Amino acid sequence: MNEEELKVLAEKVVAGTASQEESLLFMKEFNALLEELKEELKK
Amino acid sequence: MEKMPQNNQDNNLDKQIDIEKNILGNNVEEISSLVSEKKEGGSFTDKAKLRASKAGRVAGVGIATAGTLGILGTTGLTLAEVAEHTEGMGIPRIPEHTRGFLLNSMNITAFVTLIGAFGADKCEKIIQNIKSKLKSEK
Repeated sequence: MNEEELKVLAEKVVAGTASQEESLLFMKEFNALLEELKEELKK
Repeated sequence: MEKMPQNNQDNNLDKQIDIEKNILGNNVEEISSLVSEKKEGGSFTDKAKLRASKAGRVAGVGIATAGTLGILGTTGLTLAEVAEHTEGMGIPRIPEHTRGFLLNSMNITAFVTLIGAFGADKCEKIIQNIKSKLKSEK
């Protein structure tokens, strides 16, 4: 998922307009990004 | 394949969302801890800065939305406070890349609090740690 798509979903999740599927997808994608960040911080 | 009844499907999604929220909370705590462990003046890798920057920009959109809707208070932060730190006021002489990284971390923390990954108390504690790091990096 690209950054723009993530931003759109972030907006919907915060506004409470995201469907359950969209919320889950967003959280999985954001977690994947944070996992990558964590791995980089360990270097 | 037999189709799952709608209620069961919704409950299953709710559970999965809760699991992901927990992972989000744990990830942000771990990131905060890894950031705190960085030695003073120690630099972050370029890839770490890029990842933090991307996550920070996404979080920024969420925070801006919350600010518009008037629900940012749930993070224990005010929009003015986020804006103040985003502008870098009161935290001079920190190398731009370090300041940016730490501010992105703060945005991410406020954002995951907004979406319910953890409570305002924990958010405030992590934000305070990041602020201390910002001050110690002067």
